[in-house]
Amino acid sequence: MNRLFEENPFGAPDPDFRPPVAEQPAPRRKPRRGPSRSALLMGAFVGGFLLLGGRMAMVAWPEDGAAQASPAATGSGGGGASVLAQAAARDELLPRLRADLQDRAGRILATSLPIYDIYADRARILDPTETATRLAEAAKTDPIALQQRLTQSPRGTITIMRSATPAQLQQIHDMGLPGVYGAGRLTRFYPEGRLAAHILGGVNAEQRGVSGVEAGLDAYIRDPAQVDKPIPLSIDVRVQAGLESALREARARFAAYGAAGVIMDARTGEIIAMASIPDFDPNHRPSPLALKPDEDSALDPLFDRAAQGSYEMGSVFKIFTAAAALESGMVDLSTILDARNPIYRAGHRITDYRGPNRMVTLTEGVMFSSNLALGRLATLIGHEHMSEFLRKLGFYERVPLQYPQGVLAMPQTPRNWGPLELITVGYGHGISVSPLHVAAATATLVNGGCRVRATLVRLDAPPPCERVVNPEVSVAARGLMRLVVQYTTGRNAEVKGYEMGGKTGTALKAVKGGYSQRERIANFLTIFPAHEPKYVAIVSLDDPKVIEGKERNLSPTAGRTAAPAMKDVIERVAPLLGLAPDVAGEWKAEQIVGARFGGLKYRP
Amino acid sequence: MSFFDEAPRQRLSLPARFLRLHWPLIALIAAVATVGFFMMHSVGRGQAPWAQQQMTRFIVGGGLMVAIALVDVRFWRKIAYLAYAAGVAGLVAVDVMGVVGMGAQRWIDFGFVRFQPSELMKVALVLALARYYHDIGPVRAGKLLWLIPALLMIAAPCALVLIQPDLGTAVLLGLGGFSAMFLAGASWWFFILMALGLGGAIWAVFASQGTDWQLLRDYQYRRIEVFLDPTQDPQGAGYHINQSMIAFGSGGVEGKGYMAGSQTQLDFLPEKRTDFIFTTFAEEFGMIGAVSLLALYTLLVWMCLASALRIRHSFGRILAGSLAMAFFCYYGINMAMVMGLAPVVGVPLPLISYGGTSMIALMCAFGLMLSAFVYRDAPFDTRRG
Repeated sequence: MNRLFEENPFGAPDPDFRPPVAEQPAPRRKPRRGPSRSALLMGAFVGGFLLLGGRMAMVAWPEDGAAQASPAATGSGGGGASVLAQAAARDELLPRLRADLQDRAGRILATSLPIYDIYADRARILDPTETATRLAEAAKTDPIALQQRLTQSPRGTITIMRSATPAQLQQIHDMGLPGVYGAGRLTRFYPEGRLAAHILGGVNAEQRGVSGVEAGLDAYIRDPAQVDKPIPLSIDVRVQAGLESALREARARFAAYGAAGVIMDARTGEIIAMASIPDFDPNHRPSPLALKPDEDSALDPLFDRAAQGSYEMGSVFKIFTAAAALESGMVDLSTILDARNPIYRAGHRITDYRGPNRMVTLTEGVMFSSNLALGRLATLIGHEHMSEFLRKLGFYERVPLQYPQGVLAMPQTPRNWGPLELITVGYGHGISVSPLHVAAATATLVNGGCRVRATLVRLDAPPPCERVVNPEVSVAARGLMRLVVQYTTGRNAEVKGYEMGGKTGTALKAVKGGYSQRERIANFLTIFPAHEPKYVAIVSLDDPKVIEGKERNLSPTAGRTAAPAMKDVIERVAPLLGLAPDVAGEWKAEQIVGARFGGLKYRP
Repeated sequence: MSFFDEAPRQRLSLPARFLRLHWPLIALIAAVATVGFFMMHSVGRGQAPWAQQQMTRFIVGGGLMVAIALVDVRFWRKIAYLAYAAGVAGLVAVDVMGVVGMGAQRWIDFGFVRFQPSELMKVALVLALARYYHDIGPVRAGKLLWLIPALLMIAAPCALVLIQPDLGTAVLLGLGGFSAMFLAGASWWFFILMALGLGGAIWAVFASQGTDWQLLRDYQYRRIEVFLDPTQDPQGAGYHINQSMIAFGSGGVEGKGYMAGSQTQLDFLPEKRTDFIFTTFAEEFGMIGAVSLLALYTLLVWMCLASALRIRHSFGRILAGSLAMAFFCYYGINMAMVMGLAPVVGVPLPLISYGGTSMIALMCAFGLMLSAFVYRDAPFDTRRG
């Protein structure tokens, strides 16, 4: 018996089903409800198609609608068109990742350029010897070694040269070697080399900022909506170059470990120039130095002494002590202070360096940089006035600079204001701040009392004035600083016609567990022109030594090292800042302080 | 006493058999295989002889396919159990004296040719199950008791393959066997129980990890972990799938162009001419190409099933239907695998991946399908088979 047609294993009635006429159809199973098994199977095929096709779309669809990266590889068979033209067309397609950085006048400081990795596909090379010989010449490598790699490497693809310029790519292309290719990518380039290295910082291989404003402004620089708009920084490359070369020379002349300097707009807080020597080339960013825990992190060229370094500033701080006292209203410039006998407090003996050793006015105390006078002045006004004033100047917080979070110097201020702390802070010890802090605080003090916040981004208009210092105190501070340069410790910084005001500060370097017996930090703080300061500048030398001239046997104080270094800086940058020397109309600081020092003889 | 004497009803002449061959299906198979030749040329960068070797295999396999198709399907039913026995013997032989390749014993070396019995087994198992269900008839196929012999027939080769160890082939064997059972009309209760059992087995596999009775090898656990999160080990166990996704994604919508897939051409992608050939294809031809190829496969499997439904005997229907289902599982699992939807189990892309035995076995399977189609109206007498 033929049972063939009684079976319908897939369950569905078959449209072609025709039982043979002669046969007796066997009883069928009762019809099943629901879809037949073959229909289920077909559904599975369609479902599989939809599932896999949907997944393909998910995986392959470009993210965020970003332009599809074009294949950046270029073969040697480029037809008649120049490879450079092709490369230019392709570079349009290389996605721009970072906005350019400019100085305040629109000069390029950082940009992104296409570079090419040259590689060889071994399977397509016709003559390894010729290829190796000619490529080695262009790539400046050893032809023998290259030939060995081309013939013996287990890999199919060999990198010949990294980061070739478009011109080098063209040169290699013109050789007409089969199997040699260039793959393009954009890389960060700093056309000015070392200039403003610490400010600009750098990027990593993924084109993410790792330091400086490249990291601090990373979110803005990589903002896809703004990436074609250059970001103007506050710095001026000419002033920056002048500051850097002056600092480099000062470091060599005084055999210092390092040097730092800041030039700031006194009203807006824009940093016109800021430098730290030794520096580095951001195009070839070095690895951080492997320093031992007890070594000074400032030895690393990557360390920005001006913004990251925290130092006791020494007598520079006396200008703030004096201003705090004047601001309190308890004293005036003619208040008499005792600068005669050493102070003994908490087991310490405090003396003056070449002090006047008599009763002095407040003006004279600042001019002669008397530790005793200013220490006693601080005691007189008390720590509430002192700390409140320092807080208003910004000494209790990090400078809000456009650097990555946390790398900037955090000031170290006394936790408990005892009598000794009050005295030492009065003359600039027991409080550590960065040179940038001092520049910003000085700008606040002398610009009429408007709070200044340092910035590295060019401002289109000055910020609204937030007055924190009495304008009369501000004018008095200008007068005091002018007298220091005119008559006493700052005389070595005087540049005729620019009417500089200033203050020296020499501090023994703080080392682990106390102070170094020999190493010093020498600072010079400047405002110019003093009667209406437009700029504030500070120069800081790490352990300078006087090694030449009449003073070579004398102690290397700031007045003998940092002051002439500052003179050098001002001579170079003042003309660039648009200031003409004005020898005729001398502003008499004596009128401000109400005293005359015409016959004063003082050699710093 | 030949087989044909017992069923003399339909005897087709050779030209008639030729005419009854499913020529559109054969054309579609050739089209998919041609895609494979181009891909072999691409991954060989025009140098390696893979494309020519693949073409030779396809031509040999194609000849075999037509030869099998022209033989009466009742003959294949007759030798079904014999083929199954030969396959099991081959698997035992591999376990005993096989050649170790890629960390697993999968090959028998005959001296002149190296042979993978597990590939033969995939066809033989379906063949044997088709005969079994044909012989017992549809009523008994729905009874739970009659499941037991079928299950044993599936379990034996699966166990032998798992010893090698080759999880991917075991899964494919199981899926082929269950397809046959499903199409033959095995009870829905069985499949519900299977699903529960599978859930229990998965639970047991994870519960056993680190204990004395650990069920899988450490590398297999690693693969499962990496499948669930490939980024946890991008340089190690997750390397394959991550490179595959990178290459796939870098092709984008339109692809990079033929022979211009840099991820593949620069050797970032592993196993690029075998298991990951689809990634190469997707990188060079993009999403449009990948979806087109998937559509081609779907059309092929659809045509197989549609032709199976025209067969008027349950042996042929079960045989052709479950081979189509197995083919669907092949390309589905491979594509899902390279796109990160399934764990990396070594399943090649049928007709396209480089590999001799799998190509020949696949062409034999198509031959059986076609044979059933050519003899779609052949009467059977099953009782005295």
